[in-house]
Amino acid sequence: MNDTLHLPPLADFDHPWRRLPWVTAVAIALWIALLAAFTFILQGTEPKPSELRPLEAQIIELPPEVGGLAGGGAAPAHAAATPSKPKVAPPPPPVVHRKKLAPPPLPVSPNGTATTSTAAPAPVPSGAASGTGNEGSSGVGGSAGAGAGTGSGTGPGGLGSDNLGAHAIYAPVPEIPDDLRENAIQTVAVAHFTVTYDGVATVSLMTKTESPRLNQIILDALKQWRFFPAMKNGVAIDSEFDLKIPITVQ
Amino acid sequence: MNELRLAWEALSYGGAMVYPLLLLGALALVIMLDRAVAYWRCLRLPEEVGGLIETYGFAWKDLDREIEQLGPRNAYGRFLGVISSNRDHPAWWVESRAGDEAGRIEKTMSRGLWILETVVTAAPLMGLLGTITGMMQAFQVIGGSGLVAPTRVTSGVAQALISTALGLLIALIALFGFNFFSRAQSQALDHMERLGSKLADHIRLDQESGGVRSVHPVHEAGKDRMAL
Repeated sequence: MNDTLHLPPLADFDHPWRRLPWVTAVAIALWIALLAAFTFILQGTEPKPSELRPLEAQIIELPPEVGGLAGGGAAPAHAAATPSKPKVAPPPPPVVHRKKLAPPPLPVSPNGTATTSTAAPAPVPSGAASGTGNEGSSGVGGSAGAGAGTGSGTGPGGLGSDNLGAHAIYAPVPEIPDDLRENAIQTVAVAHFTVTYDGVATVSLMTKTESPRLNQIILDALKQWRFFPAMKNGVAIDSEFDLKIPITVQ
Repeated sequence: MNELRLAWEALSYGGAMVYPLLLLGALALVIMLDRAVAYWRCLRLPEEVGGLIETYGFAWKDLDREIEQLGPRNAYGRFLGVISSNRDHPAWWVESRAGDEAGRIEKTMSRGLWILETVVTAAPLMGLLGTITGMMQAFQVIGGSGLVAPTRVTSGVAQALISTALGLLIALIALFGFNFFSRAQSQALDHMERLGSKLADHIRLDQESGGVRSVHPVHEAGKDRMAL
């Protein structure tokens, strides 16, 4: 019997638990490096995100319900066409008065005479609708909406005439943030404007969208609009009208 | 660090199944590294030892000296030591003890390989599960509202596929590791079996010749044939 060899017990043959700490540390470092390389490959094959398309929105006039004094429609003044920002396209958005208001007392000039202003209205948005006038039963044919700005002036409601609907002289467009663009939206909001003879406008949303935040954004933008009051026989009068605002986010 | 942050953000798109997958991957790497260290330490056989046994005649004292130099943690040293230290016993008894020792060595060296094998199978399945749940969430976009941006659906599906890709990556790594270590272990055991048979033949020859077998010097030619 040869007793020169001493064999340790099997438990001492291998000691995986002794080297476990540093093996784990090295393995985790190696794993992180592998994952970084893996995600680098994934990102390399990922298609580049397409550029966000501009928001398409339109403002469309409502058909006249009551043949009253044609109100001046409001149109967006200058739709800033920034490619990356949502924007409201400014198609011809004339708006017609739904209801005629009783003519308020004529504004009195400092010398005590009624104001019969025939001066040309304030700056008018470009690209507005026709200004041929949209005469209602009252015969006071204010030009349809923003069309007042570009009216030919040949009709009774054209630019330069004594009868003119209220029209916007400053109409900023609502800017819809990107997070609202995540969901496709196709809805319509209807805003109700009341423009007094002295140009003070109040607005409210008669028909709201499903998104309260979108309603607030639209309302905030519409509150910034400024109007030239409607004119009847050369006299500024109160007027009110509705704006239909279709919102389409694709 | 920015690359690591971007990598983490990309992986986190894969959903909740990414986290167990990452754990599986780390576990597989730990086992593979541990087995690499164990095999490197325990399954090395110097050419001198192999060449000595491959010769037709050798002195047992020379073999004992070589075995001692291998150290107690070398699997070949343990296996050959069992045979050499019991060479005075009957050959059948020595072969039985050698087979028993080989079995214990196999068990020790294959420690953790079953986990690698499990990871090979489980990782793709977990990745697939993560993809299915991710796609279910992506398609819920369609059911949620009438109008849906198509890019939202496709981007959700693409993100859901990350978990499958990660599962396949982990399975591939574990598969290569498992096959490599399984083959290395199988080759080592085959080699031990062949060396054990030669030593058992020497024991039989010594016992048949009454222990007076002449001892020949080690043949140098046998060195080149030994390799793990």
